[in-house]
Amino acid sequence: MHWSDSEKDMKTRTSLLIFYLTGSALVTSNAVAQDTLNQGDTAPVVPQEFLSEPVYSDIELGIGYVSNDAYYFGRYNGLQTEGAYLVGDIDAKKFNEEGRFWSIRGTNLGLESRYLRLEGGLQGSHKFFLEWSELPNYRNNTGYTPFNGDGTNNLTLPPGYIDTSDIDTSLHGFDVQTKRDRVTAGASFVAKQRWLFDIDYSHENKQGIDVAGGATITASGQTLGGTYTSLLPEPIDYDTDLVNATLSYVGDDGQLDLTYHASFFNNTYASLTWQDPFSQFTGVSDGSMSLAPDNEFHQLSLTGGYTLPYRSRITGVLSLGRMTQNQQFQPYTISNIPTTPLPADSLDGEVWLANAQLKLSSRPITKLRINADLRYDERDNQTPVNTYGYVILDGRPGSGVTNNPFSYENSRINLDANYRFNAITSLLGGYKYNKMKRSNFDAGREETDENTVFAKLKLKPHATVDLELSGEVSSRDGSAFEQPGYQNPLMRKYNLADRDRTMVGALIGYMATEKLYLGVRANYSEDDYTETQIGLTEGNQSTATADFSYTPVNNVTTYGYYTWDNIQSSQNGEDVTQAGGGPGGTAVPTTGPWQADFDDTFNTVGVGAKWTNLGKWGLGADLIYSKAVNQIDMEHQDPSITEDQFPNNLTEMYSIKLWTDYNYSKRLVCKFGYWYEDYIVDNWAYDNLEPYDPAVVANTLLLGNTTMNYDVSVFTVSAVYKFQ
Amino acid sequence: MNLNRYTLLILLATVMLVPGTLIIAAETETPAANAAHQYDPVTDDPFPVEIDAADAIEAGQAEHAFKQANPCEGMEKGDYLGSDVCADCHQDKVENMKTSPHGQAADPRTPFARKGCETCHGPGMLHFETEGNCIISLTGRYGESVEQRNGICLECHQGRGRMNWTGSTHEEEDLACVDCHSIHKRHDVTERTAETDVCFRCHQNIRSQTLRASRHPIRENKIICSDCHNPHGSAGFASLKQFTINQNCYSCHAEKRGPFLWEHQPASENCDLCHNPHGSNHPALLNKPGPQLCQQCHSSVSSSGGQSHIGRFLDYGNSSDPGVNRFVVAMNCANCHSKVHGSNHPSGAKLQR
Repeated sequence: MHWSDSEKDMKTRTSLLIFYLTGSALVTSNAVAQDTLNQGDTAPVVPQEFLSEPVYSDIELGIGYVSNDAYYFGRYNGLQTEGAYLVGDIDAKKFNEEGRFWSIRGTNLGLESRYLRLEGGLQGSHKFFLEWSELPNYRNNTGYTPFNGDGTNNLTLPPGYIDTSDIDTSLHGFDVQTKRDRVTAGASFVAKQRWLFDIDYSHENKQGIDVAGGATITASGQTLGGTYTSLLPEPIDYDTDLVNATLSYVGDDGQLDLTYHASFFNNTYASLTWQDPFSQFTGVSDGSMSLAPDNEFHQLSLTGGYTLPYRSRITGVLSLGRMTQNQQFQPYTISNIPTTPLPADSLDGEVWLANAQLKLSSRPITKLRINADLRYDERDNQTPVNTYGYVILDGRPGSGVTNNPFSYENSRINLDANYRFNAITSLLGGYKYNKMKRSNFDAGREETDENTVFAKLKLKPHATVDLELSGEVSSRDGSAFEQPGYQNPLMRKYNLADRDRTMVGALIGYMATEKLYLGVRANYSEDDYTETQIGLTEGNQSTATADFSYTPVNNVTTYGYYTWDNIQSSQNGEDVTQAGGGPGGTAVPTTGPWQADFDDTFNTVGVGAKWTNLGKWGLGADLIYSKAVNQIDMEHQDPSITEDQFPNNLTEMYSIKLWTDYNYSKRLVCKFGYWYEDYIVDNWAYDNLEPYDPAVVANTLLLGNTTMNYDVSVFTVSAVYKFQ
Repeated sequence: MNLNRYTLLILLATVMLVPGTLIIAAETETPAANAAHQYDPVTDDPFPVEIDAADAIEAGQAEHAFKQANPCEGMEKGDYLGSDVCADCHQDKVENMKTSPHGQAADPRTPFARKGCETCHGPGMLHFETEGNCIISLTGRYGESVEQRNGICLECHQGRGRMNWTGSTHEEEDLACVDCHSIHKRHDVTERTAETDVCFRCHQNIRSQTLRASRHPIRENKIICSDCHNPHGSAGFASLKQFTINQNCYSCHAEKRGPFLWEHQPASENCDLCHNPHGSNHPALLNKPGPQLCQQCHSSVSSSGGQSHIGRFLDYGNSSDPGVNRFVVAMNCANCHSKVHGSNHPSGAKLQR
């Protein structure tokens, strides 16, 4: 398109006006911006071709059709309902010769997963953006509840509800789903080419219904037998505000970023109260729980980098953050159980986070590369310590409990060197040290130390061949274990336990011809918890991947991949009484030990092809098959236990996407798409369970929901119009 | 090491005021004057990359191995032709550059405010005379090392999110900028809908994980790799954008931040101890199904001398004891202990309130 100068100017002004009207009132005057720009270097010599005209503007409009209701298919994309929907995308950008620009990018505009971003400014001077994003999360619509008021924080049983025999007639369906709506606005400014300032603010609202377990208990009797629980519709109405501001200096040798980050979380609902459907057994009329408390986080970070002689560079970070939480406490109970006064109206929770890093990377000679990296992370919990009276599940008084604010210090060192012997061979070797020191820790071990050595051999015997072999060995130990009295003294939690870890990997990349690439990679890792008798004793993970890409002719590309993952682990358990009780007591088994072996196997296959410029046509296809099987094998040594092996869990997905484009003209492209997906899930923990069936699951009100299988097709017809 | 927050504050102030000021002051006086950065001190033009024989032992990308060898002696020398000459043969690239920040001559920081195409590719005369050979190739066609090629980009892109590139995982793996970026194309990896496919070219096992039953909306591009990771390196674990895993997760899950009156300490320490953020076959991205996930850390002492409730799941399916099944089905332990990330209720010490 050739426009006269006056036409160009008018269109430019119109475009900018549109952006400024829709985008922001933050735009500073053009004069100020131009002054800023003029302080830079001398005017460049610009080829005439690069005095840009309007650049591109693609708008896609069309219609799509979903063949049937498929709630979980639409989990994140908004295609959960049978019927038609609008296909709408926009992608437009324009620069003028002064460097002024605006852009619009929108995807999925006809769906609840829509995204729209407007941007504009003067390159090299300032930029503004406004962004809107929606994200649904449709998880399950097969559940039932007897509670009225789902979606609020006061759940009541229907009028006339007397006891659990009324549950079946009181049920109604509800959806477990949330949706996030987020708006973000931001601006960037450049001064003297080297100083940059970015600021953005976002507000997100998340609304919907989740599920929470709410238990109540009888006033006396056996603790376990007297506990009853109901799965409740938990209301979600969160507002989160985020602020980020960064002042940057970008020099030739040195760069600095000073960043401020703030987060403000607000929950509309501080608590959830429900009428107890088991009150005939518990004597509790209502239960109550707290919901996520409001909180704040502020963080100031300084990041710097400096390039040194001998092709060396040093980078560092210092950061300090503070999280606070001071939501007013709920009462110990909303039942009539007498309680002592609360020690405080709210927690006054305060945690300081400190992070520091110093890293030196150097390549003193062409063949040698070395890195030294020191890191330190601290969580310093300064929350006041108090003893709180305790009412057990709104049903019976308990003993006072003292809170235990958790802090840690984590120090890490990473040293490595990579030497290239020749064009064929290079070898990387290194050492890592990780020390974790925990305080006010109720899990049995305050300090752990881990030492790791690693190596990687890279071979390139030919320009078309890449080979890699890697290995890593680590060993973790630490201070003595001191288990709390309520824990089997032989328990060794896996993030604290002594552990020997071995990892190996291999990669082969082969460019067989100019058109065909073949790759194979495999990794294996093994964890051996050497001193653990109770808890996780071992785990290993194997992964193998093969892939290819083939371009038989310039306008045809094909690709494929296959991935096999296998995760195995073993853990032991045992019920005990403890002679003498308390830490260090002797474990006396009350049941024989048991062992559980886990095996998760995943297979994923994908192939695809794209054929462009087939006359006026373009074609494409993507096929994915994925299958996952979870298996648990139980063994125990107690003849009194009559166990059933757990059934396997299965997830299987077939996905086919086909599309074709027809270039009707340079301006107009017609698009046709077809997407078929079949999703099969078997999960014994959910399937075939009634909401309330005491003969199968006693003392418990479930949702009776099932896993979310679907089998669905989506058709789309759309047209892309290019305004370029 | 005992670095408390006061020490950090002092260090922050010191680093801000002293070395930072020195860096900025020194460079403000003599912008772009350091010869180590390949600028001509007289003209302020960038020097083209010089192909050192010691460095030029790479063959660039493997597909170039099938191209005819061309030593291109003297490639770094010659006259600049101007981008209008380049456009004669590379019209598509020129058109796309118009839409790119690189192509905006009005911004003095861009290549097109200097020598146009030849700012990055070097003088074009030899390329012209050899009918399409002998130009600095960002894909390494003529033996340019990855370091040399990346050096061209880093001349301008070493600050901000790229500050930690040197020594980062991808730099250590000898990735070239152009392995992921295609600056001549209208959209490249910086387009949200295109990013994951680029990452999955190498991280194929992660692609497989994103297809599992429980996952983040990565398939839908509503969360993409760079929402959590900085591919150019960072101070965080696994190149995360925040300093710790939990700070990263709290970016979207602020309700889990607390601090809570009753903490579940592993949750306050590291979300990854229980969750796999890339995908899992178990609900809520958990590494293992419940109740076994919990039993990895929780056994209990039975006061009555029989089975504790933590161990009772062994009787799953026993029709004579249906009370056992509630520890196993649906949300298993969380059927009662629903506040697994922490509770702020005065009676919530066991994470039930």
